[in-house]
Amino acid sequence: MSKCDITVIPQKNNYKVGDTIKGEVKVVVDAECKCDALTIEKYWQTHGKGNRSSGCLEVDTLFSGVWQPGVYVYSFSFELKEGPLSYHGHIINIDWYLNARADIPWRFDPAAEIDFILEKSEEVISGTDSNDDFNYIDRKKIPLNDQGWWKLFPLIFFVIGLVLMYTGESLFVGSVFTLVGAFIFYKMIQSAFAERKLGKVLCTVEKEDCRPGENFNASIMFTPRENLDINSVTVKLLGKEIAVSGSGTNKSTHTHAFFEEKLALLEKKALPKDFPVDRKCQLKVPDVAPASFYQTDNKIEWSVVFEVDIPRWPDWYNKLPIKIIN
Amino acid sequence: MKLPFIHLNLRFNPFGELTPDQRKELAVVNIDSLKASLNKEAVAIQFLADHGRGKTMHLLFLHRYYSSAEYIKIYQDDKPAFSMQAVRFVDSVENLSKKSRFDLYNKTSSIAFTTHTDLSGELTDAGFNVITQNICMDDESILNQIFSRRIKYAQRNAGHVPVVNQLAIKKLKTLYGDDIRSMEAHLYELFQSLKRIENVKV
Repeated sequence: MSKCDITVIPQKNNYKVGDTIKGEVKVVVDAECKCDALTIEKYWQTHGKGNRSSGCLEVDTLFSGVWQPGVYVYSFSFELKEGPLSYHGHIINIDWYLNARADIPWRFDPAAEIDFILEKSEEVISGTDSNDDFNYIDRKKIPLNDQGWWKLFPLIFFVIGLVLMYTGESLFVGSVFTLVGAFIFYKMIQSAFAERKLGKVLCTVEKEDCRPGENFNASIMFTPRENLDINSVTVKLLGKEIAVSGSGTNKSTHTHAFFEEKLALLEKKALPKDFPVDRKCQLKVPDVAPASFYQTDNKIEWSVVFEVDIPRWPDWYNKLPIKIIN
Repeated sequence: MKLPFIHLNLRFNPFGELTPDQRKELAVVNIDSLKASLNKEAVAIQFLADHGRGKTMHLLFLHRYYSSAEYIKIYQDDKPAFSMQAVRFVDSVENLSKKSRFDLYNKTSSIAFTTHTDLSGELTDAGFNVITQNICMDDESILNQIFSRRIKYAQRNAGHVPVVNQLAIKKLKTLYGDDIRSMEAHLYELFQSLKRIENVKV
């Protein structure tokens, strides 16, 4: 059987958004060989703990016909118009690839793949259009301090758990349902409980879209309904990788916090009733912050987390997502 | 920025998640005795084990010999409608209700599937000759092959790459028994922290 070897040779490994990647595909054949199509694909793909996500596929056909024994070189070029930028984290990595493949009838298709790095262009891209493909979380869709009836949903698990235990159907499953249902319900309503003492709490972040290195303001306001001791009021800028592996009953979600900066807005203090509390601070997005990334099984999420720690009472907690753009 | 894992002469962490096609390509299993079994009528092969022991890997590997046969993955609460098939591969068959399973048996001549629970009783009742493969990935030489193949698949250029040696495998077995998924999770973290090409220390 004839042998067909393929090599992808890029001019270099590192590119910036807006560059054109150029190179050659070298094919070595030692006997006559029909090729239905020699293609080269450019795409990004994640790798790490999560199921692989990929996108921005662009394909170019370099040749079709019959190869006689010899060495053939085909040039290719692709414009690198948009992200995501290459990212190497702990459980999520994003990389760009060139994959050349020869479609040879009735044979295993020879192929070669190389990876390359896509970095930020020195020019700042205005607006967010370059990242529109990545389904960033739309802030308008996220209810803050939502008091909706949907919060009762975990109680269904709680009740099912109790029924399973009471009827003796399954003590283990029943207790798991009961505990998980109760815990989720508690987490959902804990801020509402806290507001019985704190009054309505309003927290804001000045910007929804930030660039690495930028500063932005965050604030929290409330007026206690009663005299109140608090342990602390804190705000935290949090960067997290979230990767999902497997599916169905084998599905696992892995998280890794790669950035965390916590500031105290208020130390341990006694707050008098009806005395308005209005605290502001400035947070800085790190210079090397990766852009927000949102795919089904791989996410890079940024958020600002506000917390009011009340002794012997449920703490108040809220998380506002922000979008980091490159 | 450097290419990922270039300091280890790798393209990616070998113990990260792979696509189903890659898993099929890298599977190390011994199913020689089963290769032709499904060509006979009324044969049921069940790959039986707990979570993370490599059942799916075995099923995917066997499917390579019957690549035109239907391969389906059943999720919890799935109620698929089955058409008549000569050979069918089903991952996680226990997610089907008993009624759906009997519908599956009635509409399949020969079948291979993965399961956590032994279904040989109901398969025999449905008229199948049952072959049960208890999956146990505790053979050190098999584990060595699996880990070596994954590292080789992630290799960037010719030359040295990190090695998971027999000593490391023994320690992984002590920690995780035959739970290969937990071993791979452990190795993932070790490869993330490796600074240079060396033998992996568990």
